[in-house]
Amino acid sequence: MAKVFDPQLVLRDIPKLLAYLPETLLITIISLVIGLILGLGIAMVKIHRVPVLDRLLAIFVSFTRGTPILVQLYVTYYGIPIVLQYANYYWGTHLNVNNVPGLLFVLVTFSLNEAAYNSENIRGALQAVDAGEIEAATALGETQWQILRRIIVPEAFVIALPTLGNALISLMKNTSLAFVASVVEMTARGQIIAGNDYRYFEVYLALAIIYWGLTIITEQLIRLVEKRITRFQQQQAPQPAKKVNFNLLKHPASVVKRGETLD
Amino acid sequence: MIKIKGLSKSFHNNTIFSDLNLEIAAGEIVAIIGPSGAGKSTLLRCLNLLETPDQGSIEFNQVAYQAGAKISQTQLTKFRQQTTMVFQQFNLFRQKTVLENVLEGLLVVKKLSRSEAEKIALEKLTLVGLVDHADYYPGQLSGGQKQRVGIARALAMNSSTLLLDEPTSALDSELVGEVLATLRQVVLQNPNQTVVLISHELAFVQQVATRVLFFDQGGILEEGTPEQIFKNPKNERTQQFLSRFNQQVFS
Repeated sequence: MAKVFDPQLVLRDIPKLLAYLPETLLITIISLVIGLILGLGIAMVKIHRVPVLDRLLAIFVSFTRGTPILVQLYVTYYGIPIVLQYANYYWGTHLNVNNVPGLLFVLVTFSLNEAAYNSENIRGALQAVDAGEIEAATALGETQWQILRRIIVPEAFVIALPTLGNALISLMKNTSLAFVASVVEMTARGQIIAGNDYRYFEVYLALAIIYWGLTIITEQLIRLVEKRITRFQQQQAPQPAKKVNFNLLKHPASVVKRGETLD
Repeated sequence: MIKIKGLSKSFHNNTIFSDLNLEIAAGEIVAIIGPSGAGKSTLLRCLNLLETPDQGSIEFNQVAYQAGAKISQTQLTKFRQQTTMVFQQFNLFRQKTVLENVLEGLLVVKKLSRSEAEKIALEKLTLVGLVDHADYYPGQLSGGQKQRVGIARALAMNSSTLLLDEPTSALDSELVGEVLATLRQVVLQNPNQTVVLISHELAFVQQVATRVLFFDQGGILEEGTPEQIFKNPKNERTQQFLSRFNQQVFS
């Protein structure tokens, strides 16, 4: 009887699959960055209640959160060519409808999905930033952009990091759906390997081990980042106040003139 | 010189003050006293536009703001640079060290070089007695130390007017002394600095202020030197307010 389960094949497949890790990481990182930027934009629109746009984005977020990502991938896959056809018809452009790279469908879908999920996390984090710090920066004369960049975003990042970290792990695992759009990343490569020797279990077990390992590494990286950016919370208890010369207060006002040294 | 003309502010039809007029000469230390909720802090926050006045104008040494008029970001920054504020709740940047808190405005708003900014920041931290805490985070400081960092941050900006919004009211009574000592030192050592102070520490007000305004019922009910206001108040509301204060002191 042939081997029902061959662990050697698992070990053989892992390096073959890892050769496609860069594709998986590329999709993850680009979608993460675009998703965070768009998510921040959506959060700002919601916080400032921009008329019309606010409602439209609320529908977009509800739609994205209410539909499976696989379905969204199909909608993008068949939808983008239709949009291009309309563009060619109405604006006279000559966009090639049949030659859209598969990676584009994947990046659009995952970026928008990330943006929708992250927007709520980011909005919550932005609104949790201490208003006093924003006031202090405003009183110093900082512009709204400087305050956003230097005070609000770093503070909000600390608050949002745990949920954003979970979203990143989900995103990385979801990249396994990219085969739908003919993008060959690790899972698609696994299907090709299994199609050749029909050892599906070994290939998928090898894939599972790789994704599990990636998740553990990502979790550790997030933990490191968290530790680094929350240094301000982690140190020892407050130090005792420095001894102050209370005699300063004992000078009667009449004997102390402005400009006079009190020591 | 600060000129406030016809200043009004209300929140949701609740008038905080209206048609307020006030002139403060350069180098004056003006203390605003009055009951809680009278609108003293709102007035102070209007001076650096943390609250936008509904009507009236504010002028600092020829840099003017007219309520309702459009103001560019550059003008707004220039206007805000005329003042610097010490907050009741300290409002330190919790992710930044003590030194970074003081450097923030110098680097970002004043655009000084790092070495110039650090020199000023360390000088101000020395003044408030916290230079050895430069690498601490606000979470590692006591309330009094936090407020002294707030004072150093405000002083570093070298604005013509220092706004002190109840700087000791969020502190435990044993920490009030250290902050008042620091404030007294910086106020008295900088004769050119105009100070607008809100405080319930009336003994401190009496010691440092050159003019005292009693603020209540949406306006300035009485003003004068500390001696006139504390020893011989004319207005009935001022008398009531100060007698309650005296009762508290003696009890």
